Amino acid sequence: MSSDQPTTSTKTTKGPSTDSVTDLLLQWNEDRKSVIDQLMPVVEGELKKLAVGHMVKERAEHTLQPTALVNELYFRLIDRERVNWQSRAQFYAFASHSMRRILVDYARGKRSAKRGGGEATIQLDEALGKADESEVDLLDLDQALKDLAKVDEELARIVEMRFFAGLNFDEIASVLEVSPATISRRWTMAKGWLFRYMDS
Amino acid sequence: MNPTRWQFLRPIFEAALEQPTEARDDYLRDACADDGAAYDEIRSLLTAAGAAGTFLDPPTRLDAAPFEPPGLLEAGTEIDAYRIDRCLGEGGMGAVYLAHRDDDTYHQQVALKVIRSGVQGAAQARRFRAERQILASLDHPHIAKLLDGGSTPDGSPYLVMELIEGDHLLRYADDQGLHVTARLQLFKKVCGAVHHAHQRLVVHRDLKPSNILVNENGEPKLLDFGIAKLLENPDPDTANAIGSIELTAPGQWLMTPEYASPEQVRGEVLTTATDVYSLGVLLYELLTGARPYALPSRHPMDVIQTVCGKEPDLQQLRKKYPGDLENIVLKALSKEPERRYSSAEEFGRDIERHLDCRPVLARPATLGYRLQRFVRRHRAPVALASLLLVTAIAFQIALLVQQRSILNLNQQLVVVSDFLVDLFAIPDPNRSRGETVTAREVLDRGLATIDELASEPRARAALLAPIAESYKNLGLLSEAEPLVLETLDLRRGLLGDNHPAVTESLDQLTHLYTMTGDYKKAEPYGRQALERHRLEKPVNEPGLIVALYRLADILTLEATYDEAKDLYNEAAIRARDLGDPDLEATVKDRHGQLLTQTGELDEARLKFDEALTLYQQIGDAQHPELPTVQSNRALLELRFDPEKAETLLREAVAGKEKLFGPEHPSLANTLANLAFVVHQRDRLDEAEEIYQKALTLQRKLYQGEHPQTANTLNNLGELYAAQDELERAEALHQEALTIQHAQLGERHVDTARTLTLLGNVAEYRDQLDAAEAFYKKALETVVEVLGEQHFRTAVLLGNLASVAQSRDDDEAAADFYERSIAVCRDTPLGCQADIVYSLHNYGTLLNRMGDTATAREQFAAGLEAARTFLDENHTQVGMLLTRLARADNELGAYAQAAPEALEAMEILKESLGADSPWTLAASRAAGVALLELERYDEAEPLLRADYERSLERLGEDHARTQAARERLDRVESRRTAQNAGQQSSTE
Repeated sequence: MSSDQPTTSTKTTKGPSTDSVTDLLLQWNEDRKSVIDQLMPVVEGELKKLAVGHMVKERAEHTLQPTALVNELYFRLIDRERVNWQSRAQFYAFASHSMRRILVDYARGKRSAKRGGGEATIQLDEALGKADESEVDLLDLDQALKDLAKVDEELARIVEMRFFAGLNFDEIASVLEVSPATISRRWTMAKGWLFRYMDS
Repeated sequence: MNPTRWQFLRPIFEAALEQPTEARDDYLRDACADDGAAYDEIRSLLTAAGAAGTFLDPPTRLDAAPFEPPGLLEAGTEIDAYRIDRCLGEGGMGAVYLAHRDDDTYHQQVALKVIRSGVQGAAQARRFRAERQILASLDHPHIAKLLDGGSTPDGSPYLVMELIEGDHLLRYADDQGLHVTARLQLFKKVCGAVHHAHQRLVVHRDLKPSNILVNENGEPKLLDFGIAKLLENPDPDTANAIGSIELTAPGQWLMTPEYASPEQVRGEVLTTATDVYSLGVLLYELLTGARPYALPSRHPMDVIQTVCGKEPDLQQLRKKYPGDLENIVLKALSKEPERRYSSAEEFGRDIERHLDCRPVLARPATLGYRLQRFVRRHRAPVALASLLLVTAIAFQIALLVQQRSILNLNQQLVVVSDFLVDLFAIPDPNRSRGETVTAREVLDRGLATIDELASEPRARAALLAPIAESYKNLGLLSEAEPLVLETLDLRRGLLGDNHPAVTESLDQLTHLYTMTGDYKKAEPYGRQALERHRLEKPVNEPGLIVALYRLADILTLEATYDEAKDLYNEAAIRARDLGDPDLEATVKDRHGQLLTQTGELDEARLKFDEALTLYQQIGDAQHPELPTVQSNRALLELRFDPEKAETLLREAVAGKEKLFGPEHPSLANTLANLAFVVHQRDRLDEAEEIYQKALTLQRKLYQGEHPQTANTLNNLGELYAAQDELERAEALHQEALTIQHAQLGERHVDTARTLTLLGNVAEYRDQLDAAEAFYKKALETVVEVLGEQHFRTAVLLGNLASVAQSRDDDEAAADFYERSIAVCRDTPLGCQADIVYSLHNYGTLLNRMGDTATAREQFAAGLEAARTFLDENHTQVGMLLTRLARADNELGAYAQAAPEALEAMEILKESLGADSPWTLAASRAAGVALLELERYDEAEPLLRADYERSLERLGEDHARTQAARERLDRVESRRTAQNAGQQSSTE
């Protein structure tokens, strides 16, 4: 095969169109694996850009509202006319995982720590990680979630969706395909587990 | 807890939660019948779940879309005294409505413009009002009057303007079939209106056809004066247009790129000259129906390149209106503001002169014109015309010599050659300050003549050498290379290997290949040249010194530091003995660069200062090497005083631009350095722009692959990585790596840096194995080349620590931190600021691992380093004090904790604000310590504030709220006890 074929990349991390993302989301029921593979990078890329934008804008206060960010991303990427609330929940569920990673990275000061090209580690601004209203130490929470996932992945996932994307029980239920009451119960279980873990 | 155990417990836990609260315990006893451990476990989970309260609950989500653009106002909506009739149009800035004054007896119709923007907040609103006042003062028959303004109920500002009905300028002119004179008369009126505003210091900034309407009487009316400024971000830090272009969606630019001036798209300070430019575009379009240049897209880079770089397409204009009008438009469209008409009025008057058939101000940009400009700009007594004349004569002589085939040419040739050297060497700033204007033309013509006429080797060699040298001095390296090589061959053939002229060619080649970044080619030439200089009798001392430092330069760039140092030292001693402070300064500067690279920063600073002192002694403030030394010194300063570094670099850039002209490798490198400093100072958009500028220049000047280009690529990549544009970053780093592999080889510190950066990218992507591999490979090279005791080693160890931490391998992370900190401690200045962060990170890790005492040691050491190497009130100092206080509280050392926490509070309040989690953590720590120290009066307000905040944020049931409550209660009860005790003791 000739190597100078023009490459048609379907991966659009810069300015993906509302249509393409919405289309992907609508294919969810048909081909989950491929949707995840294609949607994840878009969602994560866009979310990071949003988050970075917010960090720049809000440098004075160093606050990041994860749920607000995910919300903003949704309005930016999705054509709301075409999707129902279940698909929206699906989208938020995707975003929750990316959001967690972004926030934890941020909390670790990882990005800024690498500034200076390995020339100098510049800033570890841990206060950033504590920006959420509930004053949870994100690094602690991340650690706790990692440990929770080792024994019970589902509970960790529920926390991720609820805490990092602000999904309500109905929405989480639709993503995990169980009843809302079950989600409510398991949320309580997860909270108990994490609270005990983090308080100790 | 292991997963299997959890598998067993989970259903019981879940089932227990399904029970009513009061029945849970019974259920649990039942379900766990003979497993007491399970009972305890689930019991504790249930308790925790109860105590968790609103823990982790997200704030309520607004399902209504908060990001929707505000809707259009309905007809009939009242805004202050106005009533909306209908929408006239909608654009990026907002919407315009037809409206009328509601209380009007005569029902005057107006245009009401609602501005959709972030003009919010008291300060901005005040500013908006102030600007409105100025705009209201514009009173001109050709400017639409601003009548009123205010803000709508939802806070959007609005303006009320005179309603103009009519077509915009271009459409009007076409529809009416206006001939050129009528068009020009109309345009003259526009100029008059713009001038009126300029006299009141109002710049329009967005002149374009749609902002100029012509009413039914044929009178033009300008709209939206000063609106662009009103909408502009008042914050000077973000006023940079590149930044605002990037941050604002297309269509929301505060300018129209098709009509914007070069300084406008570059985001520079705008003067009335920007309107003159836009008027020029307008006139062009009014005359030809086309625009002077087409924008490939509205992407900022395209816009900047086109508007700033592309000359207007004159064909259309020339075809229709050759002569005056062409010159008039061209003058208005000059890229440099000072070459345009000095005012809109002058522009209008030139139109008038043209209509009256009088000579116009605008003249073609002839050579004579440029010369005039040049002479004006550089007051140096340079007469370019006579210079060109001299060139012509020189070539005449050369030709004569050649054509007559005079056999004994030597003497004449020397004369000709010296003559030409003087002539062509003018671009070398050592001879002439600031002039490069036509040197390239002179050279190209000279070369063409030689190729055509001088085939005789002697004449050819004599003529080629100075031309080659001049190309090199101009930075035209690929042009110079074949000429130098040819000269060397010719000279060897004519004069033999041992002739000084051959040595001179070797010198030239060494320098040339160093400049092109071909160090592998440069080194052998450098060694040959040095050897020849050493053997020469008598020794040409300055030549030998130059050969010494040039070879040392190459060795430095190849990271062969020890040999390079020896050569620099020898060169410095020889220069001093020779009594040549100029040369000595050059050598010191280069030696300083080497020491910067090896991290011996104290010594480096010393060398630069010695060089600067020497220049001072020479007493030449315009010395060509001065900007270079300043630039190098500035880069060193970056670690200590970034602001000073930037100032120094900007001076260096200005100096080099003046000396070398706008396209010279030396300028490109300084620009790249400036970009780096701006980058470090966190002005990313600005930095990106400067990087791109430097990169464009470097690619253009070096053409091939140059290690300097690789450095710029890396720095820019790093900037992208910091903004999470990892693919772009990776591509740049890979490009750099390719260059470095070809030019520097694998075992080079610069190559190692690229690997580090690729490692960073991998780490950002959570590809930890890849990141680790990059770091380890880089570390190997760094240790081999620079040794273990170098800050680069420390940084890489720190990076490996962070990889380990991401893998939750706390032991490995701790180990790397310890090594990194140890290296930092033993490394010369420059590494010490890094140690602060390493110690902080390490302490936090230890704390998490439960080793509070050791963690405390790290925080204390970190604090000491922070106080020494960072600003006294640096946020890090506050953070480390907080950490320290908390550790001391945990260790029961309350007497130490209290002053630490109180100091932390002060610092953090100042730097992060009173409500930041860090400030609150410090104040809580202070409260706890004071409580234990029985300083209740001081503790009480802190603990009360903590409690109240927790109550408000977390609710009453939250464990943290309860803990805060408990502490508060303890203050109360202990204070009561204390009071009672005091009373009983006084009694």
